[in-house]
Formats: sequence, structure tokens, C-alpha cells
Amino acid sequence: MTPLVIGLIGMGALVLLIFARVPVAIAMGLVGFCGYAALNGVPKALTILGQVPFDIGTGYALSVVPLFILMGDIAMRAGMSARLYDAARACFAGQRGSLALATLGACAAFGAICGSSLATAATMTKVAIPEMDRVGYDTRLSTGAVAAGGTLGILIPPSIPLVIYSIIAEQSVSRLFAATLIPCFVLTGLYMLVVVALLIFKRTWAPSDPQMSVRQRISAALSVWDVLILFGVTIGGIYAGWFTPNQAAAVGAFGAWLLGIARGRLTLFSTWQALSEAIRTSCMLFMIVICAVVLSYFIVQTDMPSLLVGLVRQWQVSPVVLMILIVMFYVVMGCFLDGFGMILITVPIFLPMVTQSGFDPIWFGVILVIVIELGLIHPPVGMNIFVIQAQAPQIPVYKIYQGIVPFLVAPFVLLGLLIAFPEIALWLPNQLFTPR
Amino acid sequence: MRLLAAICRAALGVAALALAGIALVTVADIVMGNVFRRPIIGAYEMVETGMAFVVFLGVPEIFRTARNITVDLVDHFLGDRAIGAFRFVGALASVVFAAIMAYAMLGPASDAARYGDVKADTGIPVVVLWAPVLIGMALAIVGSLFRLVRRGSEADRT
Repeated sequence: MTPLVIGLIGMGALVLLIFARVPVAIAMGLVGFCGYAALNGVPKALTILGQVPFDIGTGYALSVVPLFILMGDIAMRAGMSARLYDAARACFAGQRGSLALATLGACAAFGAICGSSLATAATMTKVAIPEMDRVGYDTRLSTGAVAAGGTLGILIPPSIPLVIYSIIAEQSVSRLFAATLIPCFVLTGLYMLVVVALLIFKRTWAPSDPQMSVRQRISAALSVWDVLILFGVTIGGIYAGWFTPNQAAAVGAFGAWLLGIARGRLTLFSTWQALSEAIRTSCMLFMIVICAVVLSYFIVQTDMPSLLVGLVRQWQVSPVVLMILIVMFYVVMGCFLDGFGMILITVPIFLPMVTQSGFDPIWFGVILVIVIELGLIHPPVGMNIFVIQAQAPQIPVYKIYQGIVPFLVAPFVLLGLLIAFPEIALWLPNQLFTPR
Repeated sequence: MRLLAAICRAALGVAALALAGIALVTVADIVMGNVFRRPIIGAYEMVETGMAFVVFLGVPEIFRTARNITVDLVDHFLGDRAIGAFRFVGALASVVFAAIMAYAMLGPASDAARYGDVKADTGIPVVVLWAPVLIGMALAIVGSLFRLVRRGSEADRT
């Protein structure tokens, strides 16, 4: 059997195992190990499987993952999300749909200190949905806004999927963080436009909100000083060159803890809970990364990436058409696969093809995170939808699906803008760092 | 079973302490380097050592509680028996993979012990990093065996 045939059998087995409820990490690890053994023999496969987990698990660069996760967990337990919501609400007070707009703003701001979509959606479900319910918002609007806003958590830096991508694609985390900042603002604006447009046609979905005095607005805005400091020091510190991403993550985790203690919102017990939860999430991710790297050793040996590059050259597909096809592929895959799984399985195959077609790998990282975001909110999997449903079980899932549909337009528009104008993502990193 | 849960949670606790340690060492290194111009020598290696504890001592609890991400799309189309069979396959695959991985790690770990490899700045023996790796993997095997016996009945995540 040729390496390519073994590769194709391996990919088929991977899909089968994943759909047979074998954990994604285990499926990737088993296929990677068996495939590599089929190509190079069991002793070499054992060498890879013995050394790769150790190298990844003890890598300094990857300490950024548990530290940023810890920062988000601590920020969540320190009640920063609720204050962000109040501040955002004060900004939009007096406008119809102000609470939905505030939810989106607060999600973006919380994402700036959290890095996880699920955590952002889970937190905002608790904070925003009861309040919107109380004043009579239609559940389709309230849940749609939270599900869509939750996705901003992985686009705005610090973004855990981007860190994972940076490792697989061997790209700078700082550049990637800089590249997502403007797209995140654009996407937040697009989501807000969706709310405004929706309320033109469905005025009954949201009552008008009472005005707030200037004093109330200033007071609410000032209450989030700690979040501003945290984001400014950590992410601003990376942009300014004060810290490496690892150092920024440690400073962020420590800073979030200090601020939580200073505000009287954190106890030793809640600190311990945050540490334990950060470990659980990190270990789950590390298992996926380790197994995906084992799988990528196998994929590289099968020559599938170079075959794909050759096919694209042979068919003379234009780069833009290629990118549209890749985006469509990811949107379909997002119906079935978890975002991290998608990054780890596909990047080793697609990245050579993407770079050969003249695209910047930093720009591709941004595209990738946006399509993963889509996967978080579009049916049938849509993890954010399940997170909301788990915490607000009184809301039927079909209502959440109905609510999310209008919001799906925004990421597609952003993808179109990014394909047409890559500078939306590349301008800021080229300004902050030496252009490549 | 309670003993296994207690051991896995204790390992998770050590991992949590290691994570706190990593954050503190990194922050202390920044402060010492910028304020006193005396960065902590070997901070980088301390973080690497801490990471071995963070990653591998948290793994047993992930295997024991089936926190590894699973795609449960088939659940909507199949009956309970079929789903139970799939869960069994998933748990079996986890045991097999954890066992192969642990076996594969024995070679490099014993090499590190035999040759007395140490970290350059701190002198930490590399085998110290291998200890949590092997303990974690051994507990992960036991944890996934526990799932296999229980047929992966609850707590699966999508």
C-alpha cells in the first residue's frame, strides 16, 4: 500500500472513530500512532508516542494556555462579568434593544480577559438573560445575543484557539493577537447592527429601555476600572513589548486574583475552584494537542498536504476560490466537529496549501477562528447554544436556534470582508511589529 | 472506586498548586528582573518542570470523569443499547491508547534516569519531570479502566 492510501484509510478511520463516540483526542492519537506504525514500523511509532507528549507537556511556550485559562476563570469568579454588563448597559441606555446591545458589548469586553467562548456564553447567560427576561425581551433575541456574543470570547485576545493555532502553525502569538483585534471590533459592530436591524422588523422583541443620567453612566463606566487595567496590562503589555505572551498570561492570572481579592469577591475556596477548573480545561486541551501532533506526524508522512497543493496547482484554482472552498469546508465540518479538533486535524493539511497560494498564515489564523466561531453557534452542534440551554433549561432549544439565525449573517460578512481586504487583519500586526 | 476518585482529585490538587507556582515564579521573575535587575535564574526551567505536573497530574481526572471531548451526534439517531455499545468502544479505546502511551514513555523516562540528565540552570534532574508524567499516565489507565467497567455511563461531554 502506498503512503497516500494508508493516509486515506487513516482519515476514514478517524472520522469513523469520532462518530463512534471515541473521544476526539484518543481517536487522533490512535490513528496517528497506528498510521505512523504502518508506514515506519512500531518501534519508531513508539518513539514518537513516548517523546511527543513529554515535549509538549513540559514546553515553556505552552504555559500560556493554562495561565490564560486561569485568568479567565478567576475573572469570572471575581464578578467582573456582571460589572461589565452594567457598564455596557449604561452606554446604550435609552435605546430600544439596549440590553441586547449591552450583552454584545459586555461579551466582547469579557472575552478580552477570558479567552474562551463557552466561558463567556456561560457567564453572560447567568448575567444577561434573567435581566432581559425580566423586562420582557423575546427569548429569541436574548439567547441569540448571548450565543453570538459568546463567540467573541475566542476572537478577541487572549484567544486560546489562536494560541493552539500558533503552536501548530509555528506563528507568533503576539502577531496573531494583534491581527484579531480589528476583526473583533468589526464583528461586534456587525452583531450590533443585526440587533438594530432585527428590531426594525420585530419591534415587539424588545421594549425601549429607560434613559440613565450622565452621572449614572459615568459611575457604571468607572466600576469596570479593574477590567480595563487587566486588559491594558496583559494584552497591552504584549502589544507594547513589555511582556512575552507567557509573562502576560502569568501577570494576568495574578492580577485578576489580586483585583478579585481587593474587591472582596474572591476567597481561598473560589481561588481553589478556579485553579482546579483551569487544570481540567487545560488538561483536556493538552490531550487534544498532544494527540493532534502525533496525528500530524502521520499526515506529513502520507504526503497528503503536498498532494493537495499539487491538485490545487493542477486545477488552477484561483486563491480566492480556494479560500471560499476552505471556508465552506470548515463551515460544514463545524456542524460535527469541535473547534480545537478542527484546527488540529486540518491545519497540518491545509496550511501548506494556503501559504503556497500566497495567503499570510497570520491572516489564515484569523479566518480559522471566525469559522470556528460559526461552528459554535450554528446547528446541529453549536456548543454555545447547549451552554445557554444547560443554564436556562426553561428555554427550548428551537427558540435558541431561531434566535441565532439572524446573527449568523455577521461572521459571514466579516469573512467576506477579510477575504476582500486582508489588511483588516494584517494592518495592526504590521504596524506593531516588524513587517515580514 | 472512592479511593481512585480521591487519588485522582489529590493529583489534580498537586497540579493546581503547580499552576499557581508557575504564575508566581513568572511574576516574581518579571518583578525581580525589572525592578532589581536580578531575574530569577532558572525561572524558565522551573516553569517547564511545573508544566509537567500541571499537564500530567490533571490527566487522570479527565480520564476518570470522561471529560475528553466526544462528538455525540449519533445519540440523536440511535437507541440506548447502541449508544451504550459506542460508549464501551470509546472507553476501551481510551484504555488502549493510555496504555500504549504509558508503555512508550517508559523508554525515554528510563534513559533520563540512567544517564542522569539534568536541567542546565537549576540542575533539576530530568527524571523529576518524568515522575508526574508516569504517575499521571498510570492513574489515567486506571481511571479509564474504571470508565470501561462502568461502561462510560455518565458525564460524557460533547
